Amino acid sequence: MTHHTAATRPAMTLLATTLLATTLLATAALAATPIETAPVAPARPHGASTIELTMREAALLVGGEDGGSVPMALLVLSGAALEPGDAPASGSSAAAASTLVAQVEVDGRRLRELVSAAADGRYGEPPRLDLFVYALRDDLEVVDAVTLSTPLDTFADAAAPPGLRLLVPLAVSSQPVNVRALLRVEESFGLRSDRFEPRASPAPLLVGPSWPVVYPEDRRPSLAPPWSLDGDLPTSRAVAVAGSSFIVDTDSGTGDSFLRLEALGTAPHRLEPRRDAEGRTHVDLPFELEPGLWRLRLVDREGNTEEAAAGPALELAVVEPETTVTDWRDAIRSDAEPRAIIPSAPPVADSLRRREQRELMVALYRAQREAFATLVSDGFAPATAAWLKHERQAYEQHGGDALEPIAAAQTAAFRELAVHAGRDGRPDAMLPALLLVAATGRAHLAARQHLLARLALERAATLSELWVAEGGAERAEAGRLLGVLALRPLRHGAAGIAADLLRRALLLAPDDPALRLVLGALEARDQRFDTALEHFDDLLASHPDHPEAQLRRGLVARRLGDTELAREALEAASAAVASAISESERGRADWVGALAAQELVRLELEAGRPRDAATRARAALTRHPEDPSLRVALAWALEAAGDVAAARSVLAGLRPAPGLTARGQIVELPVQPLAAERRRLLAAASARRAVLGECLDQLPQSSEPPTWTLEGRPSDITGSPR
Amino acid sequence: MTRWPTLCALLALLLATSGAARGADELAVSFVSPPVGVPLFGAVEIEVEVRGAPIDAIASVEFFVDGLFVDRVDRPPFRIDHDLGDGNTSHRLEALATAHDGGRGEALLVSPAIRVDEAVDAALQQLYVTAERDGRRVDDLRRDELIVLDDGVPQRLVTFERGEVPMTAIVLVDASESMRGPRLRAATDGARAFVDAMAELDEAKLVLFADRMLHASPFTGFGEVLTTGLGAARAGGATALNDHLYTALHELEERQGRRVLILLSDGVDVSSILSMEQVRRAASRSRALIYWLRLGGAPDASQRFYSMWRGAEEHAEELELLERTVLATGGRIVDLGDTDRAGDAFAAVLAELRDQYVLGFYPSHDRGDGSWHEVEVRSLRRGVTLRTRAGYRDD
Repeated sequence: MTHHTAATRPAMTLLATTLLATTLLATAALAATPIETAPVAPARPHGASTIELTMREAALLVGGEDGGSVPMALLVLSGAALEPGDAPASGSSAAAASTLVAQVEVDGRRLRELVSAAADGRYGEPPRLDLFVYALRDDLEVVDAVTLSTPLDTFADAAAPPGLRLLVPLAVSSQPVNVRALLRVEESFGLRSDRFEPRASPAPLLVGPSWPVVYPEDRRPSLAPPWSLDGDLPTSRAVAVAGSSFIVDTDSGTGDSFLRLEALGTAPHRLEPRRDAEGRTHVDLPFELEPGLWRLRLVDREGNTEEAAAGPALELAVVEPETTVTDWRDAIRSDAEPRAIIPSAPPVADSLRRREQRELMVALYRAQREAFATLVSDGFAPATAAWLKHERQAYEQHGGDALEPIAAAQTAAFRELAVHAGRDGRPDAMLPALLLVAATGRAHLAARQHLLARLALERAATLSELWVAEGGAERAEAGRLLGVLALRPLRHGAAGIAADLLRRALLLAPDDPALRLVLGALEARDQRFDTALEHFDDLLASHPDHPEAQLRRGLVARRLGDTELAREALEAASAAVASAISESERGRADWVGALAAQELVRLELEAGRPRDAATRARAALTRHPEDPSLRVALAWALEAAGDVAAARSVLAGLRPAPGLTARGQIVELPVQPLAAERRRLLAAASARRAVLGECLDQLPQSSEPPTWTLEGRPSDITGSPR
Repeated sequence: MTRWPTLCALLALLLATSGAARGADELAVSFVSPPVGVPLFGAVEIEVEVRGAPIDAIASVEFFVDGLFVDRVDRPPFRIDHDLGDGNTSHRLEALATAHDGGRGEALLVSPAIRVDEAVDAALQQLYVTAERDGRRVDDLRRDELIVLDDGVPQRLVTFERGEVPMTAIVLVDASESMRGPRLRAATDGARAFVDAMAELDEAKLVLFADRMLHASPFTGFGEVLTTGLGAARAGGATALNDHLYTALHELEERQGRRVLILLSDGVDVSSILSMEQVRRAASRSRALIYWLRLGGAPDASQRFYSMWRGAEEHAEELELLERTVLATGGRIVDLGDTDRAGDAFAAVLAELRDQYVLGFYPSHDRGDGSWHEVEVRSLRRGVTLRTRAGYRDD
């Protein structure tokens, strides 16, 4: 705690001045303008991460610390023009303080790697580049946010040195803001943050209108269009070349002989001020400062360094001249042409739409935060209700345009959630959070927010297992939760992960038919037919009338060459379908029945009985008249029976059809049982609180999280919280 | 006395009539519309008249088209509208009337197809031949420079043409999940380019397919009709390549003149009910040329495909059989690295078709027993290679 005394006030007055740093001697040319010197994390795909590592990275995202495997830089500027010819805003006006531009630079070589890695063995669209730029106040309130999601081949030329430069306008108030830029390509990301303090701010004045380094005219880096500069280097971080001489001018008027300037780096330097003929106080920088990031701060006569007494610190990047600071140096060559400008002469309508989207994103983010604030104290239901309400409103008001803001807001909100629940290992919060993820997963999926979704899911999987009682309903409940978790990797083609989750789930809930059915289907898809058959047999032992289990058993038997077993199982599937009574059963039975019929027709054809096959196909078509495969099967049977004209008549009835066919359904894998389980869990959220939320009631009401960790197996999370 | 026989006859008729109203299978059903003997296309009004029972005694009339149930009407008029499609094919319309007391009656109407070429002797065999030397097409071969062998026996050519022989094409574009996004756009753009370049008398049909038919144009020579709705097409689902090849081959058999099937796909089938062997058999009976624009090029030996219905070896066999089937029709495989080159590939196929020679001959030993005839065409000009179908089935 700092006490302001009469003695400190002169120092405060002194510090509330403009610190003018002037280059006296620059010993080397500045070929480029390095923006940051933070070390670049080595490239490492997230797919290889353990859960612990992944969560550490999630914490990075949340904490706003620089990180990630995509080398990038962030520079926050004011008074910069977006278009050539624009008049730059004055750095000293209040208007300038309300308009920032975040310049995001991305290493082109790394982009190229990501493009080629993503293209390896995959079909479909090129990888997308997602960019989220937030201006946040210190209390994490979002002031403005911009998101960009676009196929990476939009910037085809940038996937090489010198790389990609994106300019993102942000509207802020006159308050200092933290700007965070998260760039993601598939599952690789880079995160940089920078703090911006508007120049027009009356105090503190360490960052006054002309404080940073001023280069001699002939040495000033020529920032290529779209920059249009007039006067000062528009950076919030001073850049100095090692070996040059500087004077930092405190412009204090009368000065204070006790003022000292500390340079904090690898080894602190203490700098004593001196007064010039005009009474100004200067501080000579020693210039044996090693390259790196230095913080300069003033110390008053009592040694106080707190901001209230000595003002905020000034950051100074010291770089080697003509030296590659990092391997992404080429990406930020000052003479590089920009690859993309945002906005690029935006039409008014686009501009308005973006503005609406930004406002929507901020509103959604706030709603999420409010919802999460109630997560621990009130359980899952209110959090979800609040969020879903806002999401629904957003869709109603903005239609499909709301998707991007929703996804961006969820991304931001998920950081909060990770802080709240994940980083400190709080399963009590993660379990309801898991259901929240399930509720909002649709937007994540559509917006390709794979990374964050996976972070939560993997985390929740582990926590679900840890939070299992020795027996009883909770155990089965946790098993089903794991099954729900398996849906996402399954949908993204990560069948191995899904199968692993399902096997773990079956250990907890061995009698769950949906889990066993999906696992059996996965085993069959991976050609492990014997194992698959065991799963279906186990399932049918307890649920003998399960149509889909019979169908899959029949298909597997066909692959194993056991025609008799196949016929028996397929007939049983058809019979079970016929006895389906509920609406949901009927809907499901529809494709099961169609597929069973198709396979029985094939069996007849293979047995050389085309007329029997045709009879079967006709009968099946009365129940499934739109099934294209049955029509084709009937046509083939008729042709095989010698009636080519009738075959053509049947084929002539084929029409374009929406939706999946029965075969499409089985290729898609049976996620419906688990999807139904997910819906049930969501619907029963409040009722489940007694089971799943038992920990919640036992939580201390303090805002400090308990110090649970994932090491070992704390008794607190085994069902009897204390 | 002389009036007794008349009275008895009237009584017998009355009894017979009342019996018809009560007994099973005694409803009289007849088609009011469409008229008999008329080829049917597109939306058709189908109406039947039911006699033999009071109107309120009739429970329902069920309509069947080509053996498939399509609709049911419970009260008069017993009429439905049904789209029979644009194919030139015979249709079988059936109506089944059922009375509340179990009485039944049915009617059948078989519509004919238009047979434009009925006068043409079906035994005439036509071969479409592509001639090349050093990779470039040869367009100046003379009739006397070509020899056609049918099962090794030289044949006398009765027709010899080259150039703008009209064609009917089906363009089959794989629009399964793997084609999502720009790949489908590039593929359909290529198909559009093909359509734009068609000659005046050419006709085509454009089909986008996945595990079901996603989009199908009618057969037409108008480019606008062919490409309408393509922009809204979205890729998705698994691939039922074999089923759609089989269907397309049958559709082409209903058409006249030179028939061409152009397939744009990687060739990996994961959800057809038919096997490639069954498609091969259909292709051997068809006279269509199949061109395969193979996405991704020839599969690497290390590439292994699995599906619910086939293992890796079976998939490899299916792919190899598709290759052989394409080549046996006299078509060829054009390897595409990606869909970006689809437009060029379509253009190349069209150029090849324009330069083809059409040779006609009556087989000297036409057996009509469904046996396979191997066909070979030789050029007497040095260095010229010829490509045509491998043979035909003698149906």
